[in-house]
Amino acid sequence: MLRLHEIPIVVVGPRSVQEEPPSSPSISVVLALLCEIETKLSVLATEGQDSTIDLRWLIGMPQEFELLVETLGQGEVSATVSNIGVSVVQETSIPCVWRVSHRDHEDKRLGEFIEIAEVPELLSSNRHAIPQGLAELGARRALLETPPVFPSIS
Amino acid sequence: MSNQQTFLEALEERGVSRRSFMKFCAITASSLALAGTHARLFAAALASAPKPTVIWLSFQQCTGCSESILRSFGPALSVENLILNVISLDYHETLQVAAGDQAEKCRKDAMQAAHGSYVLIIDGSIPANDKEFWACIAGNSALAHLQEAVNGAGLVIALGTCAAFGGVPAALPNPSNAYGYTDLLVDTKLVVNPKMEHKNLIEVPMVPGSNPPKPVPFVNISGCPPMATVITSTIALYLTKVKDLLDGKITIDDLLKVLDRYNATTNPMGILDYLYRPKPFYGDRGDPVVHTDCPRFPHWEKQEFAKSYGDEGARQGYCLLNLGCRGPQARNSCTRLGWNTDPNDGGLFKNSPTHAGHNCLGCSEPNFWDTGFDGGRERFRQGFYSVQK
Repeated sequence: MLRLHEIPIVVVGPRSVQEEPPSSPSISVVLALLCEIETKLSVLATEGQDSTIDLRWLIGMPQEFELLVETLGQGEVSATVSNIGVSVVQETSIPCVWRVSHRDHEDKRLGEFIEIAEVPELLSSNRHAIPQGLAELGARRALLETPPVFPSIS
Repeated sequence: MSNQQTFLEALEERGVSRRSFMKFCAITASSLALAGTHARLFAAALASAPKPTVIWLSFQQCTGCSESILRSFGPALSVENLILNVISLDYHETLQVAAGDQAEKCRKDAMQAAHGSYVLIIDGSIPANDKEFWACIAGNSALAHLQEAVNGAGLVIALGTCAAFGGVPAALPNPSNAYGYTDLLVDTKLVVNPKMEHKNLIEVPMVPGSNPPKPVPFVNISGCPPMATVITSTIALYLTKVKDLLDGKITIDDLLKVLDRYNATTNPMGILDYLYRPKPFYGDRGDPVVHTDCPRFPHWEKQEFAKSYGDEGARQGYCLLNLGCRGPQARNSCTRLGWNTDPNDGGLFKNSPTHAGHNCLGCSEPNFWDTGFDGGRERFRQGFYSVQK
């Protein structure tokens, strides 16, 4: 038996489990999610109710996650929100279905969600903050309207 | 800053935007396993919840729980520590500048001002009975301090295994007669350790003014130390409910209907396991969550076990069960959420004791110091010392 200092150092990557040959993604997982999206989309169409699907458990299944992303496709709108890190809102090719990805300052993934809505709430601006906005706008307009004062040349 | 501010107002005053708050709510609701509709209710309720006063009492402890909660792996303001930036931490012996009579006055004033609604965090075990005065603060026993504080609390959080179940100080032979909070309450239904003496301890505190009398809710967040995410999410969840409960707008039954996924208990939180720990983080009875979330679990499934610490199998990620690992008996979030996660791989890498190569000690379970190596004690010693041969 080797002594402690005789054991050779072996540097392994973040995954200490030996990589197995890649297997096919589980279609059933993705199908179940698509069914849920369909149901919630129908509810939005008939009742106007927004909803969210949390994909945190799917993050640990990268192949299935990619398959879902590929199936949903990409729409026209992509938005980046700077808020305690970054959040990326990506429209999919399915109307009213969006992907929202939350990351922290170091780009660590915090959460993945599917939002079923006309516009995700994260992208909406706050109507109740308009009075403050008007006050701020007024102050800036006043600053522009005030003519600059130049020192007299004597 | 006035404590009548709402949580969202306090955040906005610190320059945290509404969108940042929404992000925090989404992540926290996700960690609490709240479904879509409940997550939205959670966000709306938290926005209007009052900025909480927190009283933190430390007893027989090592300060590890404070270190876990108050250190942040990220920048000063992050989703993880957002809530800690807006609580009014009115008393914390390790952090506060005040000392002596001034500190005690601050504590009493804060407790009076927020009577019935402050969050009381306790860490460390409490000596009782003939050893009651083994821990004293400002001339009074720790037990007396605790009794005074719980009587006006809105929520009691027993933070860490010492506060929840006795922890290190309660390990055999328990020289200080140390108790965890649960075993101090004179109600045999709540007892965790039936072998301990449960006479002349503290009375179950009742929510002030409640009619019929409702016990002050309490939560055990065990772990040595506990995980920061668990404490912040628990406080956030409490905030969404306390105002409505105290205002009488909802009853405990209403709360339980909202969270009808979880078993009802006598505790208004409604989402606690049989050891009064939040189920979203500790699983349910019979769930070996540390084991099933462990990165070495695939090797357990293949019956591949390390024979000694640092051997080739251990380095390839083989299961550490034969070295005394308590993963199958432990329930915690460490293997799922991870400590000191690597930001460079998208959060897939979850650091935990087993990932680092050491077996789980079951630190979130009662009496783990005494039973943690039972049956595995020899395996643990052999596994360690065999490397030296």
